[in-house]
Amino acid sequence: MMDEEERLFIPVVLGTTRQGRMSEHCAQVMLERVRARQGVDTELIDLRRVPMRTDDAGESIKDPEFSGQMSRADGLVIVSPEYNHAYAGLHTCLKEYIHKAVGIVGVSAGPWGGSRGIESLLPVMRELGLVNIFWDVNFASVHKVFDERGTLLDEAYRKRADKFLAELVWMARTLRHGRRLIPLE
Amino acid sequence: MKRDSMKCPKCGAEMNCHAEKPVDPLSAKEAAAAAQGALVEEIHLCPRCGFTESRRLIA
Ligand SMILES: Cc1cc2nc3c(=O)[nH]c(=O)nc-3n(C[C@H](O)[C@H](O)[C@H](O)COP(=O)(O)O)c2cc1C
Ligand SMILES: [Zn+2]
Repeated sequence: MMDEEERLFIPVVLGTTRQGRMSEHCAQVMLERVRARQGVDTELIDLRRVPMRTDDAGESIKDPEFSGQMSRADGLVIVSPEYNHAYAGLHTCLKEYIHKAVGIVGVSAGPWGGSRGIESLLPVMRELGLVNIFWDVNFASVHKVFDERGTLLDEAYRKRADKFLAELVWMARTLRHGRRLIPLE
Repeated sequence: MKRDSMKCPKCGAEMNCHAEKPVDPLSAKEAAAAAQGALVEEIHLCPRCGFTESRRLIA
């Protein structure tokens, strides 16, 4: 019972650092939808603010703030634009990912809503130990979805985001219960 | 399988081992050991404070 009532933490990861990134607007929509849910805390993790060191390896280059956020997280929303038919984003190997839920939001200038990027990201998520859900959100032709001030022009995205989040929250809650209480045989 | 339990380094509670993930060897010593069996990283979560800890071992 306790387990079900306890708040979840599901941050939104903005997976591109590009100047002028449209994905930032998509991440803001996702953040708004997570905040609209009861019992879930969230924050934006902007990869621009996660230092990526190249002067060492392994544990010693872990950013303490980022790994702290991942340790707290019960699930992740990853907003990943499609670049060259593949995904963008940071996927450091952290043990904190294991048996946590992940949902992917694809963003593209083209008509497929980043789905080629999502498909290429799925096996990476699996290798990290994250559990993929079967809902995606696809921001296709993203320049038509927002006005120049970043206002969402199509309400249907909010509805799709809410469906996606319902599944992600279920998976996050279920996995948290398992991580805490169900031992591996 | 009988597994050695782990105590939470933060609060001392008994941790729950919820995953065993196959990993690749990072040293000649690990590679030699892995040749005798699977090299895994065990993931443990503290049900009291939520801390995650892991250890690499031969399964
Ligand atoms: C290096 C690069 C490669 C890209 N490749 C694709 C692509 O393969 N398919 C596509 O639909 N859009 C592609 N785009 C356009 C992005 O989808 C577009 O920038 C969109 O607004 C989402 O990304 P953003 O957050 O960087 O704006 C590419 C953009 C860049 C910078
Ligand atoms: Zn503890």
